[in-house]
Amino acid sequence: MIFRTVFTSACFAFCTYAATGSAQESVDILTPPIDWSAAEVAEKADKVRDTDGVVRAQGVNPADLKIPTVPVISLGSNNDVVRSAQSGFQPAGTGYVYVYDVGSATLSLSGTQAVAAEPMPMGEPVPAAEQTSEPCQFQPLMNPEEPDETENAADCSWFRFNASYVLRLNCQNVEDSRCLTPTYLHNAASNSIVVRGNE
Amino acid sequence: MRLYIVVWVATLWALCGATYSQAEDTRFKAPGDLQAGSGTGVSTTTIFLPGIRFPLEDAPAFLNSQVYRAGGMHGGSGGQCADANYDFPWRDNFCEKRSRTNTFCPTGTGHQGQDIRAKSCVANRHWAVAVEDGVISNIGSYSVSLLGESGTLYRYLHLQMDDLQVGPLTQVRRGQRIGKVSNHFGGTPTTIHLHFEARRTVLLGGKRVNTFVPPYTSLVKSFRELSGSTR
Repeated sequence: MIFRTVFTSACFAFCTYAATGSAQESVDILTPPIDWSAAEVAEKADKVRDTDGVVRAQGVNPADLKIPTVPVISLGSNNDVVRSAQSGFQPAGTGYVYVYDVGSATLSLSGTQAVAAEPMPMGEPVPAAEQTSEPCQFQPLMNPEEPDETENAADCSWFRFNASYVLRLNCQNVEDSRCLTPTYLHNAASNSIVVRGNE
Repeated sequence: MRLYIVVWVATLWALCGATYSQAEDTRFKAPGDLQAGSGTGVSTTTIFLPGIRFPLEDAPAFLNSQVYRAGGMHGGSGGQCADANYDFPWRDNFCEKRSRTNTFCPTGTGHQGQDIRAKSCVANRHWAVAVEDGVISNIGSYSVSLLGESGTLYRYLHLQMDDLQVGPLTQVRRGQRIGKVSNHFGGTPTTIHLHFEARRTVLLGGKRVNTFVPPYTSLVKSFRELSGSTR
């Protein structure tokens, strides 16, 4: 009888140890509330400030513009540095992406809502997105001195209205400064416009 | 009574065996256990990309470093097609030594994705596929970016660019072919492999950041599903 008890206990202990060792847990996917009132105000202001830019962006794919559950932001036309052209628009789940041909480079602007978090206690609020002092956080995807697995590309990300936005730029020319320094993408982000600011 | 005990012990034993086989699956080194001398990894077991499909169409595939293995810049003797490169166990190489910013890495810099070799050392044969439904956002010199419906922005590097199955704004379904694994790298070719990476918004240290996330555990899980085994 003692043997059985010891054996069963040992097996339980072993099972627990093994299960702990293999524990893998998926992130929780959170959808923080969007600040639609701020987005609506911004859209109205941008329609006055950059009417051509807003109208053009709204006309790219108007039927699908209502699908995303985040405010839709695009690139404005009041920008001497970033000259966008031939833009296209597609929703992707609750988010979206605009694509621009900007001359020897391809630029995309995506907006998304989801936040992945390691499992949190029930009811704990998602911390507010922190805005940086820069228009967006520049992140080169290449380093000329360390050329493995990089390409002539850069990202720049920021948060607005509690949603997340990412500019991704792919340059054809390895020496294209637009992918090496933040100036170009900072200009793009700071001259972005709200195309759809209501739910 | 005796029958009850026998059944009880047998059930426990079966449960133990199943759990142990997963915990001790020797095909996969632990997350964060990088190739010796290649840097400090992230040991988290959290799956940051739940539900993704494995990014190659066919199994097997082999996750390991392109730089610190045979055929790589710091890989010592042997060519890229060395048998050891096309064998288990897998190794994480997220956060491998690089100077690029990576929020997750203990040093603040490191490799932003995971290197994956297809089942054979032949370029332009093995398909890379969409890991989830989404839209192609960027086509680079040797890369394709995919915005998934989860809000994750994926990047596939070193594909055969003249044989892509997608273009900008192509809507793709999970498992749909994107391009073939190759060694494209601008001028000088790299080894034949897929560099796969993912960036998404995460809560990290109580702050919300949009950053590259460790893909290794998600790839192990999706590979197990692809190869039809829980082992």
